[in-house]
Amino acid sequence: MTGDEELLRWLIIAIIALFLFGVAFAATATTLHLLRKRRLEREVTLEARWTDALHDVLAGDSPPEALWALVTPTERRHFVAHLVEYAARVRGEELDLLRALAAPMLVDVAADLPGSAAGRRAFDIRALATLGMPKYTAEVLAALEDRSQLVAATAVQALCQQEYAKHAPAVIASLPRFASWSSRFLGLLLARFGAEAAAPLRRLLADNSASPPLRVAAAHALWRMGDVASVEPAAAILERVDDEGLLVACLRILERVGDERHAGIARRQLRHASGNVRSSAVSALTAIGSPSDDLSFRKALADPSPWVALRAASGLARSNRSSLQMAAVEDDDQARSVAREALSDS
Amino acid sequence: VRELFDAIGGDETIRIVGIVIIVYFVILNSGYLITSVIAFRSLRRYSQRLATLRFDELGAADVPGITLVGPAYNEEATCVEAVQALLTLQYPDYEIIIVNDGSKDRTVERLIGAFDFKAAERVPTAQLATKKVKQTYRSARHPNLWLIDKENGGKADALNTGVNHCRTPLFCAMDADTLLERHALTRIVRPFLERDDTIAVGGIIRIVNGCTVESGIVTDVRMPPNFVAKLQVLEYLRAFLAGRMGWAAINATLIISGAFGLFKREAVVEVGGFAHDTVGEDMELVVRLHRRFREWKRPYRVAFLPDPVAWTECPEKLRVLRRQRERWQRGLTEVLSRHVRMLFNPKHGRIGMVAFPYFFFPEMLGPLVEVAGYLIFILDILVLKAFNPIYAAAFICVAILLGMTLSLAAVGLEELSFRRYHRFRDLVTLFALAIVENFGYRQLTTFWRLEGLLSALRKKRGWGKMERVGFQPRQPAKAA
Repeated sequence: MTGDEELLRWLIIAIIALFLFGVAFAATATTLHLLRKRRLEREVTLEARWTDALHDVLAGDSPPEALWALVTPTERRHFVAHLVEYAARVRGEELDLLRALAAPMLVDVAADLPGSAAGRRAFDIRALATLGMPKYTAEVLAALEDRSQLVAATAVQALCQQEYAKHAPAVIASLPRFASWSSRFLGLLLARFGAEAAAPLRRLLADNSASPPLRVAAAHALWRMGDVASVEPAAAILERVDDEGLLVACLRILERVGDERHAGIARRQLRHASGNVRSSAVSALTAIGSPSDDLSFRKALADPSPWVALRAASGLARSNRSSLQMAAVEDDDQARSVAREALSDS
Repeated sequence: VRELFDAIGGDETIRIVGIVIIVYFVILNSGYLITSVIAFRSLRRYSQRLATLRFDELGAADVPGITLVGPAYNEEATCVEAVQALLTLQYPDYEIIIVNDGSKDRTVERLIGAFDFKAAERVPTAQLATKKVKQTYRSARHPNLWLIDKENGGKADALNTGVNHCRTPLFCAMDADTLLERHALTRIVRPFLERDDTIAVGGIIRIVNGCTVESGIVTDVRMPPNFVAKLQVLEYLRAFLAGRMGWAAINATLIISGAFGLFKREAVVEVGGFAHDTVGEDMELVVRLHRRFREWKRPYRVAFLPDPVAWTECPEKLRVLRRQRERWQRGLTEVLSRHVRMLFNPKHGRIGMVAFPYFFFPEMLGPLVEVAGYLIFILDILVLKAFNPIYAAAFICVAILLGMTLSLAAVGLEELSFRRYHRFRDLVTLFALAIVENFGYRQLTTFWRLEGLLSALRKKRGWGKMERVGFQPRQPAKAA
């Protein structure tokens, strides 16, 4: 076979292959379209049927068996998904009732866990954590160590609830896997444990060997909780540590739960090189400082960082409006603008 | 012509050109194919994450604040409706800054009248160089709505003005006429929560032509009735679901559309904001972010998400589309030429070694090769007779079938992920377009892209005028 013939042969093979690929893609897209449409229609029908029956059970008008009778073995997983969605909207007795309704179906879900793919495993953990606690606590806690980060993250998110606060140490121990997450977001999740988790979070905050982002997450959670006892470890960190994120997080704790005894520590941070730290120090002093800080605030109106200047102006607007009014007239350009903005806002 | 052909090397020259064209063709389509396959896996994983990790449950609690920066230039026809739509977004903490970039029409007057803007002080928090700000206004009715009236300086200048006045950790760069879906911000913020080193995220752009829009919300998604717009629906699906999704999966996103992108404010200020001297300021910023963060050896991530949707109006007339495509190619060329040091530079990792070369050769220089291919083909048929017509026909068949297959794969990805076109008729239309676009439309866009490439080399400036039809309100039901 000559080179030209060889080329032609390959071109013909390519044409046939591409044609078949094209047909296959079109067939796949069509099948997906039709399947999805049918699934959606079926879901709407099923959910309408289940929702009515579910309302009857929740209202005590019919027994759980009446609802279970509507669920065929092939619909069990879908039924659990329906209950998980519904569970996000209810609390207390209604949630307990949903858990009782889900109980017979969760046996299959738990049994499927070991061999299933990560996506399915993650969903199963979510279902077990939402509807199967405390019976499936071991499975959910084991998921914190799952090889898939999606599964572990699902477990963390599901466990971060006030009713599971006793598992806070286990969740905190798993946090290094999530060190790349936003500290504020992690803090927000951890804060959902409530006051019962404050002690292990304080320990994490004070732990010099822990990574700064995780300590920031702990600080943020404690700040959200308004945990008064966290002010001492926060103050100690402000005396010793120089990580910008940690300093800012600790100053926020001082701002929320500190008092005039901690004002000196915050005042020292007014000289920090970072504008973020200085602006947080100004905010803290606005809350816990004394009238003598007004002079620092007035100077801070001309701080090279606009964030510091804006916080100082807002502090002055609360504590010493006349000083702000003077700045709006007398000071240099930046300070004057900042003062004027704060005056018009307040 | 035959003599001239022989004088420049004859059959040997044409053979070399032929090889170049085939190599280009293989690289370009392999790239599309690979990103499509990666996008398929990535979309599946993303859908699983969506089903299990629920960020929306956190509600109003402590999400990072977002400032929407919408530059407006002569937008009096759509600006009020667009701002009204922005005010209906569901996100706990956001501000809107509309930057009037020296409009010559009544954009400012219309906005002031519609939203009761009053002059108000707003101290800048960054010092990116911009044209002079004439006045800042705050809405008396919506405290989170601001208007900055400034001298004309172009879109990048307007965006930089918005960044200068941004008070939140994140800002969203968008076009003033872009319609964001209500949950778009809640969705696009997710990568910033999941990864602290995320500095930019792009959302998907979809075409609003033909859809029903009520109070700034797209209520009924339909294929556009206009044929030119229909073709662009398919192009956008291919570009976003198969292209950007694939590149994002390997952390090599080089483009975040200027119509909808969320950025970490501090990172953008650090690299100097949007560049004034290119029409591709959106891509330029992303490339510069990659470049600087890699040079500083700082961890970072630029992401793309397929479900936060921004709806935008696309051109329905060929002459307007021509200007748009010419501008896009010009922007691409300007950006890649400016950062040419990244090309095959191992210091820039997969950006320098994979993404940048792909955009530089097949995407930027591609039109040159493609048009050369068409010209040689025509010349050969008419005069030279150098190619065996059977080979030429077979090669064209392969090219068309490959283009069609890739488009069908993109339609498949749409069906697999966030299917927005619910009607079966729309799916059939997309199939038909995947075939039809190969006959004329692709060649036309290639030619316009070549014009853009040449314009960039001639250092042409300017945007060209976009003619807007306006959004389609709900029509009263027709009587039977």
